[in-house]
Amino acid sequence: MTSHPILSLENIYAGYSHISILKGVSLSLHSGQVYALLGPNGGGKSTALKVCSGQIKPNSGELKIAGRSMQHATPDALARAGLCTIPEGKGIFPNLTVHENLVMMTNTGIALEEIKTIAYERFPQLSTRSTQLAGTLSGGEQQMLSMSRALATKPAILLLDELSMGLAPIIVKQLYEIVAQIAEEGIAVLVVEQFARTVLGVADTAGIMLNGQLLAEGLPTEIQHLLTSAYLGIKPNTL
Amino acid sequence: MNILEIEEVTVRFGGHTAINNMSLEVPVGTITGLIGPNGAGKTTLFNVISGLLPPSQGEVYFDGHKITTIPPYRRAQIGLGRTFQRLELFTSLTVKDNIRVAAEIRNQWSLGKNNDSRLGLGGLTIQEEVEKAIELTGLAGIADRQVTEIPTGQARLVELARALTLRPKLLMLDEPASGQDETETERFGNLLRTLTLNGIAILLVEHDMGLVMTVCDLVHVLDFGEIISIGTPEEIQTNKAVLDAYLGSES
Amino acid sequence: MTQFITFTVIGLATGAIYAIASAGLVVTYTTSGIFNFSHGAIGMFTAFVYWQLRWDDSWGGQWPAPIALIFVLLVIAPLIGILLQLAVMRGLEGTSETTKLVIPIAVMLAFIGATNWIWQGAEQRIPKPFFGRNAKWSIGDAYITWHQTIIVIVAVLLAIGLRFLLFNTRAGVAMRAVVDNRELVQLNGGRPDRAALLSWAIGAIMAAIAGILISPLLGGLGVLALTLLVVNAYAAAIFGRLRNLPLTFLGGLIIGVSVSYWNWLSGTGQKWPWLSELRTSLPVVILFVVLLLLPQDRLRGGRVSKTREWFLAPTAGKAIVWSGIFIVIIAGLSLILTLKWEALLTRGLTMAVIALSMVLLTGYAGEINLAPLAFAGIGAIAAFQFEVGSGVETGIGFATLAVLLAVAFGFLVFPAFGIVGRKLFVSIICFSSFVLVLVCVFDSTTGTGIASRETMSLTAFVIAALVSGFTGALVALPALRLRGLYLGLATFAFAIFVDKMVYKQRQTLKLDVPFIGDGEDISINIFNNGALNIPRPGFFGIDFVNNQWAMLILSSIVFSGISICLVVLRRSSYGRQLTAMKDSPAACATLGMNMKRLKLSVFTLAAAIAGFGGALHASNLRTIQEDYPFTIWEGLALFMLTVVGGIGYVSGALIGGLVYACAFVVMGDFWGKLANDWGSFRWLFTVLQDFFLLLGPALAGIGLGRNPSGIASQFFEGYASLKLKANRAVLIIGLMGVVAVWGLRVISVIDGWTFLLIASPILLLMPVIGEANLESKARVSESPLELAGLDYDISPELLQELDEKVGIADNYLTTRTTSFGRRK
Repeated sequence: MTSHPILSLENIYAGYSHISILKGVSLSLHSGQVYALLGPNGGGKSTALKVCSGQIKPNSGELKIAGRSMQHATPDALARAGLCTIPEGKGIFPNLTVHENLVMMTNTGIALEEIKTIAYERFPQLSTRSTQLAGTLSGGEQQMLSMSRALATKPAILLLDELSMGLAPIIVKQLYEIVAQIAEEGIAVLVVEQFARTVLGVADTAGIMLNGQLLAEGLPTEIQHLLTSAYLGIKPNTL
Repeated sequence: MNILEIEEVTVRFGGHTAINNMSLEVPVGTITGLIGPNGAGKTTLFNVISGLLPPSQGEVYFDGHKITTIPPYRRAQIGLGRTFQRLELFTSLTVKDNIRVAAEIRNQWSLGKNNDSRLGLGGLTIQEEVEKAIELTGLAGIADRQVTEIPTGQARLVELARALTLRPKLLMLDEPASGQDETETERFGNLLRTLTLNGIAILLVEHDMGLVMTVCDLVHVLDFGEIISIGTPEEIQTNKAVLDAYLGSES
Repeated sequence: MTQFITFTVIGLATGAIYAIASAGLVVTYTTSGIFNFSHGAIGMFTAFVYWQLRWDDSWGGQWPAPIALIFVLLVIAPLIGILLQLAVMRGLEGTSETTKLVIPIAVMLAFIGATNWIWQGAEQRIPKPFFGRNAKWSIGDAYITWHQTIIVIVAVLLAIGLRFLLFNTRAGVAMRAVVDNRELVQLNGGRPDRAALLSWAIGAIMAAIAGILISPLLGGLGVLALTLLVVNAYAAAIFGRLRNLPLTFLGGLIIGVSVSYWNWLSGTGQKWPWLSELRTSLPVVILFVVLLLLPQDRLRGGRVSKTREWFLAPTAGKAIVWSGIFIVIIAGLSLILTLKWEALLTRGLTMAVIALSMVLLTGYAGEINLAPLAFAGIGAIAAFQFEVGSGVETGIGFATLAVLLAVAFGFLVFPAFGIVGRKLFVSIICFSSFVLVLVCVFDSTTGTGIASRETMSLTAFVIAALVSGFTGALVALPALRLRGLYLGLATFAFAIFVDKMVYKQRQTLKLDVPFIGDGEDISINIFNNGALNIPRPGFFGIDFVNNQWAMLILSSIVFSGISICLVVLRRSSYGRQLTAMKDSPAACATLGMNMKRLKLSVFTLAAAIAGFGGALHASNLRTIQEDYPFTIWEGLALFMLTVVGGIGYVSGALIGGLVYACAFVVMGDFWGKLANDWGSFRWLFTVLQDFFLLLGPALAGIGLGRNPSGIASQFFEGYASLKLKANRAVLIIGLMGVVAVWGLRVISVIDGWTFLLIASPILLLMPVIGEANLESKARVSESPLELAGLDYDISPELLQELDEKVGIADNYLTTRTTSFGRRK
């Protein structure tokens, strides 16, 4: 682990129009690290991730990538620079075929042939459906397609928003195995996840967000005991 | 007695089933909680009940009447009030005028119906009704502010006050506490309790578990468009299925 | 059989052109979310360019077809599309629905103005079909021209090409991806802006192809006729629900073939003279019907308009005071105006009355109506027919009809007004019916009949409002489900329908009203022979016929009166409900509001105001023609300029009306005068004159239409600073200056132009100086000005402290914040 974080948020205040959702969030992420951001809905996890991906401009505070201030960069510029974001829901174009979805990944500068090789090798069942509309795939297959982007475009940072939403536990498990592999290649991974248990096995660091603030941060084992209370309604100050 | 009964409702969007064969009852004078992870179908259910979204299958009964096919405004007129998760305030008006126009809308449709639901005839005038709602929700201090300028927590109270001028029999609140701070949430919980004392039934979708656990008589847990558990707050907090739904299954 | 083939081929050929044009429209709409109203005008403009290159004698001309085609289709058209996107359309993301409609309309008017400017003169410009007029081949006895053949081939090729582009190229896939999920394209590292650029270029090329192919089918190039032809394609695009290209192509063919078959059936309009113009208006009828059949978006939460438009409602008292001041100013101005300018100002004020209808409908209730002048025209025609229509019994017939209309109208509308409004309405209806009957009975018993009057009675104006209001209800009734763009398109279709079917109507309507008279009680020649001579008003014993001054004052009083009513309405329960409906339909529904009724009532009221204003405008003009002043194009310009003025304010309507009817005429005249006085620079001034007259309004729309609150709010904001003590000197000196110049003009020391040149800069600079004055005072202190971005409750102590720091001993900040909300 290098001393300089590849991605960091410094005292971020952000939200939609004048409503602040994040109230002073700081966190940092190193190469090869899997950081799991947990917490109940409405806590600000997704907002924090969108600040990282450039989709929400912070009202104040700094987004730094490899030490450089990046809060003014557009999401597409960040994506081309090596930041791969898989948004909540399925990160695919439902009315495009599987093949065309892969074509869209070439915007990051990787050749289509290479993308196809990597994607179809890792997920052989996608290659048999290359002319099928992505929206007609099963939930698991759709998530595989969006994960192919993380694999094939060789990003430096991977942001995952609610990867497991609407998927059967067995598939979620498989997906997180892939995430672990990606991290082993030295990629920094930020996972936002409501279903905490699934991700704790993979993560090196975990943070719990509540009411727009980072309530606790530490090794998964350290914060595990806080989860139940954070999710099922014991007030934060009694923790 | 139940004010609201949902019978085997199913909602499909294209191939996706948002609500799957769900049945639910809300007894008179109680607060029924509806919790569940994101995408479990809570807001969809609200839209089905208030008539903004027709169900693919199933029936909705309100106060003994089948209301599945009647338009939203007719449902409001028979006593079904709601608030919105994403605020639907009248952004050009002040706090007070937001509530006042709701009272005026009610006077409009109660025209020619039984007179006790009409304001200004014997009972409260519109002005008094508005003031009552403002007082009840504690908005007096900001009554003349533009709604675009007030914090979300208070904006949610404006939506509540607006819905209250309907004098609803059932109040459906969609995440009313999000954006409120702790003291506000606590006060809000007390307010909900007061309302039920007046005979209003409440259906509450909320992520703030503190609120849900303190005010609800009965909690329904939704996951994947189905009710996976029903119980008192205490039962829910220790239910393994619920924990799995929220935290993911322990593997 | 021969005929069948011939008409089918004609239909397929025009249908193919519609298909091409509408496909271009769909491509731009899906990728950028903007309905390109200027699509038709782009087609028209490029057709002119093509004609210039191919056939003009003076410049260009005689280019070989392939080179001209390449130049127009691959250079000019894409350039237009790209420039439009870069300079104008790109900035529309996230703006209100009205803005998204107004800016493309402004662009359309700009193209029309530019074409009129470049290709002046009445010279006949006749484009020839490909391979000449006589190049044809035959199926049996039916001849098919090569031009028709080429059209169909081009359409097929384009369909294949578009399909290939969208499905087999990276750029096309990116365009479709943008439609699917714009944000995800960015997360993939794609650039949605580039896809939009490409789509605008393609859209413009398709418009150009359609324009070039369709122009030989007309007798000669006509700016409006050509634009309208491509506009017909909009129906096809709606048929494809603005996203489905195969359906859009099919829609184009259906429209083309139905028009062609209608021509065949009706013997090119000969068989049923009433419907003779249906051949030109059938596409918009189809547009209207398709819109009605289109499944609409459901009400949903989370749809609250997040736009920044924000209109304040003044109090009734303020409105009355300002109305008084306004009338005094107009009266004062009238002292220094010559007859010509008095007439022009009256024209502006009467237009402003019509614009008030849009303030109510669009500004207050958020419903878009692109046909304000169609309702105005209907009002004017109704008033004319009531007053001047032929037949002795016409008056009585009309009165009966009016009573029936009034009752129906009241029945539709009154429930929305609450218990007081209901009583009020019933009494108004009873009273007006009573008066009507009385007037008519009196008139017919004295034997003169109501017909053929020299002047227009008050009754005629009431009739204008009633008939127009009723028409408004009829139009709104089926269109109640529509909102935003779709409602805009439906009213747009209605306006074109009125242009074609009413203004061009040459038939005589004969009606037998039961129980009255014998036989044909009403006999109306709807739009005589393309012009109606509208009488001037005549009531209260005032001579409006030869007295332009009286006409001017009457218009200003009418404008003030209706304005006050609107302001009162806005602050009433009814007005609040309109605002509520505009802000959040979903919340209204869940509060029990039946929005259909409210929409119907406000549509009716607005149409009634437009009809009343239309009668007034027409009677000031004395003559209305089929192509002036109530056509769709004029209506769009008025709508656009009212939005520029500030459609949420009655003063916005005033600005809109005055700018529309007066401002550019005055500027044009100014340059015209200079051109006369300074012969050596004549060319320059003539160019400027044409520029202002032809392009001024459209460019104003493009430049200023984006400010959602309009000029009016800026104006208020500027003048608010003058109310403060610190600026009293500026205000007094400024006003005294204006009054002094006015005085000089009254005693004829200076001429009108000098007055204008001195007074208008003073009026425009006063608020600027006032603000600068305040800021310079504020800058003296060190207090951070961010403190003035007041977003929170301000305690008196804090204010005091602020005032001291900022160095103004007045309540400047409180007035600013209370009247305009947050400054930042």
